[in-house]
Amino acid sequence: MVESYLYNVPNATGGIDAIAKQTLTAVPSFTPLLLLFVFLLVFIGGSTRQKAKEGRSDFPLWSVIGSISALLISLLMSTITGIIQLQYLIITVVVTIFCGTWFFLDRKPSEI
Amino acid sequence: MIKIINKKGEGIMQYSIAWIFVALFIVAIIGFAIGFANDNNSPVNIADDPELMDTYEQVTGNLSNFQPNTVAFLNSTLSSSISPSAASGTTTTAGQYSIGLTDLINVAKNTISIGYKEIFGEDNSFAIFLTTFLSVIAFIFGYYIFKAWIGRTPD
Repeated sequence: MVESYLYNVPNATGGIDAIAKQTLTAVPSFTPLLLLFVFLLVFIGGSTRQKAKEGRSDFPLWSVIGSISALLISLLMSTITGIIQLQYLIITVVVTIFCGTWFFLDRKPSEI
Repeated sequence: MIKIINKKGEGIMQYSIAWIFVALFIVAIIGFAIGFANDNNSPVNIADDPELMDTYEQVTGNLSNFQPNTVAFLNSTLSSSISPSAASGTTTTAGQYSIGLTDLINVAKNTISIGYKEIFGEDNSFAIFLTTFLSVIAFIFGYYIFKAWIGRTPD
């Protein structure tokens, strides 16, 4: 039966954090996949639009913007108990740092 | 790395400053995350991870070393002298290039401090930003003084 794979619809009267908690109970990978979705949405969407408009894409820049977007959402999640685990928050910070390293090392060479 | 920074020294300043900004970026991201968690009493705080905190403190220490090293580099460049025969057409010392250098750095300091105090207050935890940024300016001046004086980039 298909219905056996579905979970109960979250109770929306408790607010969006209650919905997130109930979704996490049913699908534990909800948080990391949501953060990955935000990162890829900004990264691929931004670079693709820039490619379409300007003919080139600044991938390091969009990776930094995408990772910072995911970091801000993960920080908001960290204010509520049970939505994000510490290791996911740390992974988001580390990915942001790596993207920043890529960004700063990618800039144009100077005269000296 | 040798291929990236070629024999003429081109790219030294680019990669040096790039890594300095990487370090500032690390301090900013981790510092903001810690401050956000403290301000909101977050149950999940990256300050609870000892390895990340070790990295944070080590990078902050590296940045704090950058300022005295830059001052020493700038002073040694200005106080050094060469024989005019070694590079004809140059002066013995680089003192004449330092005119206005202190004033320019003070202008940068006063300009930054306007917004800095309004945004960060009197909190000293982010003071490494101001110090490092001014050191970067002095670092750039040091390289350009060397190039203007000797006529080539530092090896």
